[in-house]
Amino acid sequence: MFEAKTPKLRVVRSDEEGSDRIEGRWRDRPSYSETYAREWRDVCAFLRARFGPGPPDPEDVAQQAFFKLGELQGAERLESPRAFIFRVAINLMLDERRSLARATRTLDASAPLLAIDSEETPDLERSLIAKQQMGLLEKVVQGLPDRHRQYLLANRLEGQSFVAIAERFGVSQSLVRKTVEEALAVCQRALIHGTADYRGLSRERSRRS
Amino acid sequence: MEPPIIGDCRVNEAVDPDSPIGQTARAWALAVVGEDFPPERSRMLGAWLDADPLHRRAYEEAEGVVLMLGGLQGLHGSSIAAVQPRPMDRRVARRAPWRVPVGIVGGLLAASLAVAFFALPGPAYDTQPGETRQIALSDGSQVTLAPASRLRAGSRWRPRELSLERGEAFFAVAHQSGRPFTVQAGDALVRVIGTRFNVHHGVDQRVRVEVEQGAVRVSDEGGEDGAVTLRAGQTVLADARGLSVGALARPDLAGGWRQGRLAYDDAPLAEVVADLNRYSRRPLSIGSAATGRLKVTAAFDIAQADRFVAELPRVLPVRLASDGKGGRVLVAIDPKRAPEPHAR
Repeated sequence: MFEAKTPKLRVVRSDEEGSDRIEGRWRDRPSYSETYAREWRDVCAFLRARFGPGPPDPEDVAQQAFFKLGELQGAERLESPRAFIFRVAINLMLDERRSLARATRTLDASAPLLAIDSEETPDLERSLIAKQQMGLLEKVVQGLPDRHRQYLLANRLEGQSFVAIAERFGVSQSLVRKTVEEALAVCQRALIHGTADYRGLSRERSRRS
Repeated sequence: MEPPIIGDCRVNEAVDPDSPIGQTARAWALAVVGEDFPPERSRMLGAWLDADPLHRRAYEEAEGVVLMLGGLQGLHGSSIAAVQPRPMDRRVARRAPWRVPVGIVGGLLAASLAVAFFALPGPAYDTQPGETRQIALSDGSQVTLAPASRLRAGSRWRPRELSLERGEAFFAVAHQSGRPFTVQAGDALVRVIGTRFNVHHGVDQRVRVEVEQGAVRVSDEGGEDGAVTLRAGQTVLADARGLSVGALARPDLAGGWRQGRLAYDDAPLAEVVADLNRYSRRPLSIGSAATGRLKVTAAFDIAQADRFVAELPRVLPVRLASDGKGGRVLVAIDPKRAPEPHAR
């Protein structure tokens, strides 16, 4: 009854022409309202603590972030919804405050400003510097030891929490936190000094090994 | 507050990231993006930020770099692939020569630890006859596991490598570029990036894949030469004869069992019976292999399974008998031969 030759089936590739939209827009998915219910309070409280009562109003900014999440197609999601909400909300807040500060300065050059844009770097110069810094950052990250790079990118690109990373790599949460902190410190020092320096890490690695 | 640019004209003003304030600020900035951050924690952060202007500056600098790192995404998608644990592929000779021995030792230790973790079997999900189960995988994918089925994750290192050891399951795969999602069913391997599809692991190594959404390239042992492209609403059957592509009446009929529909197009009776047994606690068996090879084309509701079985003698040369153990057996009716031995 059983044939000697067994078939081999291999689905090699999918999402041709982006046709793999998973479940339409995020707003139509049950996980959207779950994210909303779970994160709304946290993100509002965070924005208030981090940026004060506004303007812009923390709730407005949080609302905009959730709106953007809702507009995403399911297949576009790369990072966790929670990470998306926090990232977008922080960026919106920074942008809003930057443009508010510009407007204020235009209206009254003598007004004491928020500390925004105090060095008056022109936009073009700013974007060139930013590009240069991104290039440096990319190199620094690529040169990190595997563990540091993996955990850092899992958090920064995929929005995975330290708990999730710990689970994924089978290590403790405290090791993940420590590793990401070290990796971030390398990036911070590199941006200040303009050059990569991995010394802090090698000590850490040899001690742990 | 600072824009996320440091190290230009304000080098001297940057808070030393290795100072106590710099370290605390970094820990806060990472806690926000990596840990639970309930309102109580936000209030603590707010108090710390307000305590000293230097705190706020240090925090903003750390946060700026955290945000920039998120922006690397656009620059190189390959980084995401590099996030995948690759325990067997440690690149240790990348740093300065004096550091290499340490790297090798660390790499070997890490590799052996990784191999140990790799060897750990992943979680297995089982369903009883009649039971279906919804499984949320850690990568965001959703699996609906049919009754009397077993799905196993390859290892805790590879949550996207699954094995359907028996039965049937419908997969809604979360898209993660560079991280393929694979389902092994017998010798068949289904590999996708992100789509919605059903895999049925039947008898005689017959594996059927139905695609509800997305498009997949399917090839058999012959590799790319015999490959076919399956789109939404298409189905492929892989058996000893190779691949045969068919069409579903509608794409949303893929994995119709989830709505209680079982449908067969020229399927062996053995496969139908095996499926029925996954939904019923009252066993149904087949008198002989030859009977199992009889072909069935039918569609019915699982709730009507008993009626369907009772109707089978009308469409196939079989009759229904008791197996003497509380179950039923489908026995061939062959006018030239005596009834099969188990028939009572």
